[in-house]
Amino acid sequence: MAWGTQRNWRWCNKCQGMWFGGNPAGPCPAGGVHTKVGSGNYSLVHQATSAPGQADWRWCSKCQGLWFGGNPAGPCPAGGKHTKTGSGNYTIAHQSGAGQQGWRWCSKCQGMWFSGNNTAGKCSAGGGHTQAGSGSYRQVIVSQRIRIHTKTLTAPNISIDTLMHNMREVYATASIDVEWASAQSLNLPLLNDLDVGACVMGSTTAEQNTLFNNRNNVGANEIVVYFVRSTVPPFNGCAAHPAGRPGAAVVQTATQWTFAHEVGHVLGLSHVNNNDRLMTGNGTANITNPPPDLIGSEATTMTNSVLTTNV
Amino acid sequence: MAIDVEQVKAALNPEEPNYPKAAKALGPDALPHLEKIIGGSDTLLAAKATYLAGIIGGEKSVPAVEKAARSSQATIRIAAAAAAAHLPAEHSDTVLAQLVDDADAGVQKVAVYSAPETMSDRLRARVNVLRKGMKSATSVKTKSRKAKKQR
Repeated sequence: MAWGTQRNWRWCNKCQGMWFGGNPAGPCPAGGVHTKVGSGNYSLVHQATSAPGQADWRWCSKCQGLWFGGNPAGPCPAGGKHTKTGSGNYTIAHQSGAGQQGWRWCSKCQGMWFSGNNTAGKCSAGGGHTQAGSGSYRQVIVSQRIRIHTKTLTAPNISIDTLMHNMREVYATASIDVEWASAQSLNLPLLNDLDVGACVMGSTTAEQNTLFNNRNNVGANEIVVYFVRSTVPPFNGCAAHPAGRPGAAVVQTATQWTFAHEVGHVLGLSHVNNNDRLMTGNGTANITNPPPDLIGSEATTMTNSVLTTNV
Repeated sequence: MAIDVEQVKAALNPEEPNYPKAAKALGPDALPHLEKIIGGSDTLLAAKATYLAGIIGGEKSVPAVEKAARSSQATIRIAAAAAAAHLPAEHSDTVLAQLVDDADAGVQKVAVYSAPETMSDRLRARVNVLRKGMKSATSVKTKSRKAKKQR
């Protein structure tokens, strides 16, 4: 099942808490209302209990804060307790994964707060927040986004949830948000072992042309990744695609990084001779220091792609 | 200079191996290693090894491709079907005659598309029947062996 992301979450420099900036600011435990001054634009994984991380984080419609709904509701600065009414289910990277480290759960108010400053902020339960008993949470700051659709002829051995999570982790270092826009199964047995020819950008086979015509519910500048059983000749994946139909094919037995690597090609990246980097031409099975890196010039190339949009 | 298995794996590990370049660099000395990889547990590497054996070509490549054609893994047999197009004609015919009647639709498809222009009457008759069936099932076009060689 596809899972989405929701941006416009903000850090409040008064209380150190996380709140949703897509609505008018709610009351802040430090007085007045939350502020987004100095905050990045955080992207949260939304409606995705299958995504790696800890689910059951909730938006409180009274104070706009993010709180953990797996415990009884803590005190809300708007009065009474936090509420999950109207909230989606957010999954936060926990102990590992993408994003800025230093985010904590406060056992007093159940809220999410940033411990990386020299202050515990203000807690709606009184005093400062606490990090006692909290794991290490990570939050992704983004300035761009890409939209990925997956169409599956044969499911990969590594789940698409994990592949998407891995890509999100690497692309977050380039401030690019990865949205999993849709997931669909395709019953096309004669394209399941896909002839990709020499797999050269700008040159596609009849089979690639036929497969890449499957773009139901896909926008013009959105990427489709087709999961096939194998390619002919045998590759982990192939990013060659017909003009105006950006996408890639990834095989069932590909590595955990092939998906992100092939989308990197779609966004304009080339191979490099460095096994610490996503775009290694030596095989992502040989990546030595996961998660693999993107360097500044690669981030610029990705950002300059027409498939990448400002947020 | 002798080729070792790590050199062979290094050529196969990339997401998109450059088979012609690898065949030229490694040559027939790589074939014993490729045959071992074909029998190993990594099915993607085995499929790549099969195809590289075919691209290296010649009589010495035949045992590796034949071994792959007998694999229990469909993706390795698919690679064998694609590789068979690059074997000497009599061996290509033998491998493809086996694979065009494979129980797996993907193996069958690649075997049919890999059939050379010069083939035995028996294989030609079978390939023609299967091509007609595939044309009616999909808009995918058949391609000549010449096109395959352009890879």
